[in-house]
Amino acid sequence: MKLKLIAVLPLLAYIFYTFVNRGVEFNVAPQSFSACDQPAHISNLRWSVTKQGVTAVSIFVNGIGEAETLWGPGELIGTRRTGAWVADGLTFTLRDQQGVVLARRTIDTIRCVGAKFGE
Amino acid sequence: MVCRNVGLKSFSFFLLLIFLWALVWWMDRYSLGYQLSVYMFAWGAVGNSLPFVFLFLLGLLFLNRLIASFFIALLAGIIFYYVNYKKNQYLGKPLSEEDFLFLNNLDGNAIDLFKGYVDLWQVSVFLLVFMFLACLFMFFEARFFTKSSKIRYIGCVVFVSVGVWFLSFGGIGKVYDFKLMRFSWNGPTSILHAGVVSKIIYSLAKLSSANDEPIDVRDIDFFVKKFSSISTPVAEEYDRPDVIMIQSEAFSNPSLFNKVDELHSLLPVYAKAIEQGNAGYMKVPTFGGGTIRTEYEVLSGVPLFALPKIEFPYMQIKARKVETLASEFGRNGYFATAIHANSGSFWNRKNFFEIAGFDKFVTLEQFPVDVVKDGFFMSDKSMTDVIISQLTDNEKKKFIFAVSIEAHGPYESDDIRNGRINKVTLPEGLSEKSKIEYENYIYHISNADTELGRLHDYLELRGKPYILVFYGDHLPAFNSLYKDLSFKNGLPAKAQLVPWVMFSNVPNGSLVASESWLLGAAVVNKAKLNTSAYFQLINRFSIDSKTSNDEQVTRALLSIARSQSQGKFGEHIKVGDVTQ
Repeated sequence: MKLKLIAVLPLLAYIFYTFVNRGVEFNVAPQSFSACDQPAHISNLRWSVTKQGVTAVSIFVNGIGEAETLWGPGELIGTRRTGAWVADGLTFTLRDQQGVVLARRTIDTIRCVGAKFGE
Repeated sequence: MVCRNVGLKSFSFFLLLIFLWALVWWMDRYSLGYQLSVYMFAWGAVGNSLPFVFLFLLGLLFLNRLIASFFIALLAGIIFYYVNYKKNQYLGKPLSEEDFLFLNNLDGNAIDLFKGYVDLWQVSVFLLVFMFLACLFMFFEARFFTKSSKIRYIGCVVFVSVGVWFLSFGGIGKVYDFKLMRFSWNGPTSILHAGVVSKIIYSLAKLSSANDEPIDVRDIDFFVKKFSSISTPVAEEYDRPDVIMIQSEAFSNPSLFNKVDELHSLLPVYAKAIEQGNAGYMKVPTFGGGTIRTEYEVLSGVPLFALPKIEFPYMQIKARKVETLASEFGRNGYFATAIHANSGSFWNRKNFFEIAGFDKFVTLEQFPVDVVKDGFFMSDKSMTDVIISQLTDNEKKKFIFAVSIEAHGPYESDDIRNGRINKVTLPEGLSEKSKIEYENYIYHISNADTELGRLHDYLELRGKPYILVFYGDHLPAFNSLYKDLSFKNGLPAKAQLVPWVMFSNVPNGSLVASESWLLGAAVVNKAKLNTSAYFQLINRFSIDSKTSNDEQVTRALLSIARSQSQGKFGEHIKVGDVTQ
C-alpha cells in the first residue's frame, strides 16, 4: 500500500507537469553551449501555442539576476532569431495576453574542462 | 518475504530521495524564474539538495517513519524557497549568506517589517496542513526499521560520521568545491549553476574559516616601534589634490614580450609616461583573472599573503567596517566615489564598497543611456566620460576609484573589433589563434591608453591640483599567445609584473610602490593626507626597502595586516603610538 502511494507521487508530478504544459511548444535552438566558447551566441526560437483561451503571446527575455524585458509580442505560432547576445543563464519567457507564464527556456553551458581563468 | 520487504523499503527510500532532490531543484528554479530543468543534472543540483536530504535521513533514523520524514524535509524546502521567492519578488535578489548572518540580529521590529510581505493567513493554513500530514504519517505509518534493526544503528553511525567529516574535517569544502559546483566570481552565476542553497553553504563555509588567522600583539608592537619614528609631511587642506585612480582591466606592457619592441605606436600615452619617469611596475596577487584580489589590496593596503584562505576578499572578509583608501580620503574631507562599468552585484562590490567608506558607487545601472560597448563590454571611453562627469562640481575634493572592463577577455573572437585593429604590427611566429588574441588585446588596451591620455589632458586643462593613478589589475588570460611569445626577462607569464602610471601637477615627489598593497599608501602619502596609523606604517615600510627581507618584520607585517583586515588595528595600538 505504502509503496503504491510513494510510486504515485512522481507519476502525479509528471501528470501535473504535462497538464500544465499542454498546448504549448517552445523551443530554443541551440539552448546549450560550451563554456569554452565566446560568451555571446545566436539562437533560434520557435513556438506554437494551441492552449485554450490564449489569444496572443509575448516573449520576454532576461539575463542572470535581471528583470524581464519585453522582446516583442508574437503570433500564436512563430519563429524568431536572436542577435549575438545569447549567454549562459539568459531566460526566454513565453507569456499569454494576461501575463501568465506559458513556458520558460534558460540557456545553459557545458563545463569547459580546460578553463584556467575567470575574471 | 523478508528480502522482498527489504527490497521494497529500499526502493521506496531511494524513490523518495530522488523525488526530494528533484522537488528542491524545481523549487529553486521556480523561485528564481529559470526553466525548471536547467542545470538539473549538474553537481550543483545534488549539492543544493543535500541539507534537505540530511534532514530526511535524520528524520528517518530518529523518527523511524519514511513518509513523515520526507514531508518534514520537503516542508523545510518549501519554507526556504517560499522566503527566497518572496525576497526575489520584492528585492530582485535571492537569499544569501548575509541573510543568515542577519538572522543573528533578528528582533521584533524586523519580524514586524517582514510579516508585511506575506499573507499570514495563507502561510498559517499551509503550515498547519503540512504539519497535520506529517503527524498523520507519524502516527499511522508503519515503522521503517524493525525493532533492534542493525541497519538503523549502522545508519546512525554513518550519519554522525559523515556529519562530523562534513562540519569538522573539511567535508564541506570538498563537496561544495568551487570548480565541481561551477561556482563563479559572480554570485548570480553561481546560483544559476549550483542553486541558492549551495551558494549560501559555500559562502558561509568560506566566511567562517577564511578570517581565522593568528594575530600576535607583540609583533604589532614591534612593527609600530620600528616604523613610527619615520615622519611624513601633511599638507594644509587647500593644497590637497583631487585623486583619481583607475584600475584598468588586464592592462600590461606588451613590449615585455620578446619580438615586441615598439611601444610608442601601440600605447603612446603609457610610453611617454615611462620616458618621463611617471611609471613603474608592481607585483599583484593574481593572474589572468581574480580582479578583486588586486583591487582589495590597493584599496585596503592589506597584502593577501597575510590571509591565505581568502580567495575573494569582497565576499569573504568578515568585518562590519573596512578601513580603505575611501575611508582615508573621507576622513580628510573628500567625497569618495567608486565607478564600475558593470553590475554592482558583481564580485559583491556593492556590499563591500558600502562598508569600505565610499560615499557613492556608480555602476552600469546608473551610467547615462548614451554609453557604448566596445567588444563584449562597456567601453573605456564611456567610463572616462562618467569619471569626468563626477569631477564637474566644486563642493568637495574628490577621490574617484574607477574599475574598467573593456579589455576583459575572451580575446579569441575575430568578429567584434573595428578597423583600427589593422594598424597593429604583429610579432613574427604567431599562430592564427595567437594573432587574433594579440590583435584584440592590443586594440582594447590601446583604447585604455587613449582614454588615459584624454583624462590626463582634461585634468591639466581643468587647472586644479590632481593625482591621476592608472594601473593594470593582472596580466590577460590568453589561451594561445603565451605559448607563442615568451617574455624578455625569461620569466613565465605568472611571474610578470603589471604597470602603474602616475600623472600629477602637485610637486610632492614620485610614487614608490613595488606591490599592489603598497600603492594606496603611496598615493595618500603623495596627496599628503592626514592618514591613519596603518597606512602611515606600511608607507614607511615601503620607503625603508632594506627591511623587506627581514624575517621578523615580515612576520610582524602579517599580524598588522590581519588586524587591519578585521578592522581591529586601532584596538591593537595605543593612541599616540604612531605620529604624523
